[in-house]
Amino acid sequence: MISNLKKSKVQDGVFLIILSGLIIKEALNYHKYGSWALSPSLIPIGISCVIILLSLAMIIPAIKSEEEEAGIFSWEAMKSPAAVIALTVLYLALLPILHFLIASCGYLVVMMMILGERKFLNIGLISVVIPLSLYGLFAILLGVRLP
Amino acid sequence: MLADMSSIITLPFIGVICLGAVSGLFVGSMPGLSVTMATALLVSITYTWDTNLAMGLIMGVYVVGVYSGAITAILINIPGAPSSVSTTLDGYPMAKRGKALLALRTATIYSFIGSVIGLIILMVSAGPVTKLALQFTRFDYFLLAFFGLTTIGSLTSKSYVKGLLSAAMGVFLSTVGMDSMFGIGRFTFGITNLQRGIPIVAALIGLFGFSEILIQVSKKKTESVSVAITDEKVSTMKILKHWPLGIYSSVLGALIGALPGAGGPVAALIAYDQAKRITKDPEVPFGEGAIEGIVASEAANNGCIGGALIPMLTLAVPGDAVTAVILSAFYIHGLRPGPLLFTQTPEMFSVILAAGFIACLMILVLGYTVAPLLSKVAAVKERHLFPIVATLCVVGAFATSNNFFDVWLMIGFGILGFIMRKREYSVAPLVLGLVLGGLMDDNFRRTMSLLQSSDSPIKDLFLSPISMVLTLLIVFSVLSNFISFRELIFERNKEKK
Amino acid sequence: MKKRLITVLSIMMIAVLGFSGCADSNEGTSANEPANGQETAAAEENGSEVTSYPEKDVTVIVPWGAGGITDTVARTFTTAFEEALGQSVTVVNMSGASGAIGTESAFAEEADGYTILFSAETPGVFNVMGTSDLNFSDFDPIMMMVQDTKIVVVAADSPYETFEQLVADMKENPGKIKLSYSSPGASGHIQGLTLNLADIDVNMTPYGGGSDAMIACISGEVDFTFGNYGTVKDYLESGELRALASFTDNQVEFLPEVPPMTDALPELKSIFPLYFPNCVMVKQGTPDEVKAVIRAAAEEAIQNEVWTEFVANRNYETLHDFSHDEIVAYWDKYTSVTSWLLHDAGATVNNPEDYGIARYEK
Repeated sequence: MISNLKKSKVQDGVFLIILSGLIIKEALNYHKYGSWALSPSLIPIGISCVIILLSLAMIIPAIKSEEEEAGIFSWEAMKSPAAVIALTVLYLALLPILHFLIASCGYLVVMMMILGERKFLNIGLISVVIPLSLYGLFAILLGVRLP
Repeated sequence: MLADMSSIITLPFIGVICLGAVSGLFVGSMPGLSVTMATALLVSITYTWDTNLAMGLIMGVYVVGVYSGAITAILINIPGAPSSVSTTLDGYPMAKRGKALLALRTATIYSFIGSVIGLIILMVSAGPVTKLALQFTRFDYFLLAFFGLTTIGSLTSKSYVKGLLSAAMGVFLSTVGMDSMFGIGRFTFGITNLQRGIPIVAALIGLFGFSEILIQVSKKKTESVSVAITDEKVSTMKILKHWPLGIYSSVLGALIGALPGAGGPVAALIAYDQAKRITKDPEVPFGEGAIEGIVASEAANNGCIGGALIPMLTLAVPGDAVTAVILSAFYIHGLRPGPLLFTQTPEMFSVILAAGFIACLMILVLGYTVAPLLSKVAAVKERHLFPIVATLCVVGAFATSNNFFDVWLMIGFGILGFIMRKREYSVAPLVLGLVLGGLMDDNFRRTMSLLQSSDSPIKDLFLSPISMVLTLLIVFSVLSNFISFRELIFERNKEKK
Repeated sequence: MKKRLITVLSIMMIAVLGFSGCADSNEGTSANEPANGQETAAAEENGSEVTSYPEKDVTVIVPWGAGGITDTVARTFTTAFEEALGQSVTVVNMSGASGAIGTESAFAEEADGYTILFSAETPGVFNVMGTSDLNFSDFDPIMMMVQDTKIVVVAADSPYETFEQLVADMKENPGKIKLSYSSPGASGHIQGLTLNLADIDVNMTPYGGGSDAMIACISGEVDFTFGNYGTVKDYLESGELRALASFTDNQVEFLPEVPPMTDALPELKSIFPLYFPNCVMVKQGTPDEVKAVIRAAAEEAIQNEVWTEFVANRNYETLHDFSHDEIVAYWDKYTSVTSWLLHDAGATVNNPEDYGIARYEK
């Protein structure tokens, strides 16, 4: 039974039910205008109920069934994506400060290194050519105000 | 009208369309860049150009741009635009099986057919189609959106329930923002930038583009499947075999495009669902590489182009996001689309048609020559490709709306998409739920608002033929879903025993 | 393979940069045309300190989508304004939340005159609608632009031939007559609410956008709507729509057969004139010298043929001659009238009193 609870479907289902509850609670705040038919709360509450029902439809068979689940999750595999995410967040935070060309150059360099590129020629080339072309295309040609 | 054509179709005109076509190919296929964004930016640039040339450029970008969304959808599972989401469902699996060239050719041919049919419909029946579109009440829009949502369940070949959950999440997310009835902010928690709602392009880029990078990065080297264009012999006759489905989907796309507010994604989705119902025995099951899926999706989203232009030209009301921008281009050049277009400046109609048809030809030209070369992009080493794509995602998310907040949203959706896919939820339903949810919510409540004045609500609602047809479609759709739902549960129980 | 990649990328880069060079010379809009004599002359005229503004590109933020009504006006104005200012001016669209996104974005910039806001009338209701904490008092107006005459329109096959008939029907059948408007807090909504001042109960339904609201009227889904003359002009000519009255208290000259609303509803006279104009503004705290330069350039821009032709073609009402104080006073009045209209109708999130907005007394 406990091993059943660890199944990803059960975890997801419980999470979604809790989330739906929160949504309903928040959505009730929007119900100030009288009739339910017009209420801004209508669809959020409605769809949350649907989510709850669907989650149950997912949890109950999952608890009952005895099939083994292939391991979906592994910490090892998370390392690279986490690094990419962290790097990207850093890039976005620095964009307003360092401005597009420099920040993008740095981003490309570090990201390529994370992904395993070793040759400096490639790193250098791409991290310079790409930001320049994008800048040329967007800022100069198309008039977009890049940070 | 033919006389007009000869004065319109000059060499610079054709040249500018080709330029637009190539740009459209590039923009539409790059993840992170979208046709809507490109058109908007182009309008500013062509401000001072000659009107015909400006229209030519924009049409070139529009027509080819919608098509080229399929290219990356097929090759790297990142649709270039919301309208190409349905193409990923079968395009990418097909590519993984080594049939990428077949998929691309199919997309090319049927995008061509779709655009042509859409334009023909524009040419011969703009007036009647407009009248039909005007008959759609708010209730009908609601029914249409609801119908679209009921078909989402059929999209995923994996867990049915997970597909629905994904769509439901999308519907919930569509409610975030300023309510269109009362103006209050829903789920915005004080962040003004959220008041405008979740911008669909940023969500799309994140959910498909950025998350795809994260997924690929997280796989061990041995696991990742690279898509290569093998030297397959692709039989054009085999592709053309599906022409009835193609025509049906194109017409469907055009009609849906003619409804202001419903555009490419809705058209492609409904066409895909129809294809699934109509095709008895696909060679390959839908969702795993059925060629019919690409036929329907691409024919519809390109048919939508001609369709969306109809209300834009006859009513000065845009049929989708890109035509909204084209409308502004008309105004900037001093033109007046709308009821007086045909009396005052009828030649603009010919200009648009001419540009459109030439652009269609460009689909074939580019699709056969350049597109396969683009497949080499998939062969570029990951550690070069992914950083570039990531940067494009960032730039694309920003360029569409000039709002840096969108880029953060994009990342957020990227992470969400990554988590979802790791846990085996399909991401396409979420995007579609995002598109349809708002349509459904707003129009339901508008219907209710209008009904307050009515003495006989039920009669008023259901009396129109359109409403009855749509309601029947919904009932039919729900019933067939219900049946498969029960099948699934029964299957489970059978296995257990 | 790698070499090919490199060559392709380099060619791409060269092509892009080359193309952008061509584009520059073709359009000239991004070319800098410094005309220093201009600003100093303008500044000296005003007798204020000479400033070196503008030394770099100026941005005009339009808090509405590209191609919309406000955007088209803004872009036409900017073309003329750019010439007068002698410095490159870029229009940036930042739409969303009835203009709040763009407004907040403009406010987040420095008050140095390099960010100009081309606003519509919506900031008046931001506070009470809970959209934003900003309002007109956070900005200093440079010039009032134009407004499109608003008229009551019905479909061609509608039974109403005169506004009196429509009013009579509305009074006899409260809640049964249907009106469409674009979105909460927008001009159409406000106009509909003014009917409440005459004790009229009309069913109002928002359609999410002006054009959709108009379509609803054409198709007969609603009985009437308040349209912008410039937008519905073509429909009036083609006969699909019929104009019953204008949202004014005096006769509109170019619409001789369309009487003012106040003929049938004299109770409304107290709130007129109620305009929904766009306005060029900068953030409060911008130095006077800079504002003087901007104002001078704007005044020159509105003499420009491009602008005057545009305005004439669309029969826009120009409000350029509002003095600075008159603009401030108008926005105060507008904020007051609209906030209380909305609040009395129960359509607000916040109480106007909480923001120090007093009821409007004529």
